Amino acid sequence: MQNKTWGQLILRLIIGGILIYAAFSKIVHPQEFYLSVLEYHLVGDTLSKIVALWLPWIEVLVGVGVLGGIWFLPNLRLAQLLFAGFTIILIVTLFRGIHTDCGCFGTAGGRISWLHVLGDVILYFLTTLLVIWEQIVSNVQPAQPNADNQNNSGKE
Amino acid sequence: MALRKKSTLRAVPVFKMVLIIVFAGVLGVFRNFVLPGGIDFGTSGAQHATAQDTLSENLTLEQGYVLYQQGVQFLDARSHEKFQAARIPGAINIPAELTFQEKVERTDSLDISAKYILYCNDAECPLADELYEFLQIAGFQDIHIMVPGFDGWQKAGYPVEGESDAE
Repeated sequence: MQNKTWGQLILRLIIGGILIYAAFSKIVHPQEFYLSVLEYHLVGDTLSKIVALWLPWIEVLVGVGVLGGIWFLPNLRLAQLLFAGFTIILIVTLFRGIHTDCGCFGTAGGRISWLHVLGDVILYFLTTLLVIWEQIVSNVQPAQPNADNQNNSGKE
Repeated sequence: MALRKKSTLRAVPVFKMVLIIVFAGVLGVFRNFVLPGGIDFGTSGAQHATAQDTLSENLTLEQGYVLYQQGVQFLDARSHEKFQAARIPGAINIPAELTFQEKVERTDSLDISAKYILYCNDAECPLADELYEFLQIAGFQDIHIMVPGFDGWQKAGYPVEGESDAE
């Protein structure tokens, strides 16, 4: 943790903060998020419900992990997966001509648009920047058997 | 340093990622089934099937008028301006320009097990179909589209209200 810089801290605040904020309304109003998922017409009824009850908690855990530096690299990798997944789903849905509500922030977020795609792409690259940063830091510093380094070394 | 190089080759910590996902699932199940306001896994599939079954039950003007006389609620899928100008008496406007959330709020007070008749301008207008799809997703079980729409209704001389109802 001693190599954390202000830049890295700001990126962590942005990514973690957005993920936690995005999850909040979905957890409070799961029924409405389920309807939003269903409106994308990508998965069926039951799978939409599973996504609606599961995805927000992944966002919360990943957001907390990124913010707090807990299991930092695993959470960053999951954040990358989330943003990449959101980007692909939005692009596919836009090309299918479905202009449903985004559901990105639960009941807020407006109808899906290319701006949402751009937002997710930017978040993906910011997360990737953090991953690269973390790996460079891990490579440059001499090996130290402290807990944080072990967390981020893919020891498992 | 050699150890560090090796660690970057294993930079995707799959096990911890899986643990996070599994724990998220546990939290999600807890929230849904222990705390109030969760998603109902038991009934919605059946509701959708019922709604799908009624999809073929498009209504003629005459059928629509009979149901109107019985007090069935009409839902107007046209724009707010057209609705203000003229509408079937007592109809509720749920225009396509509303966001999904606004539609949820507007239909929040409606009984999902009651019968509803949807209409648009005419048979060519797709808005009633879009509204039908939304209501179906929202769990409404007994929804029908009056295909000839408001234009047909008005031409048939059935009652209308609104800014132009003096005619």
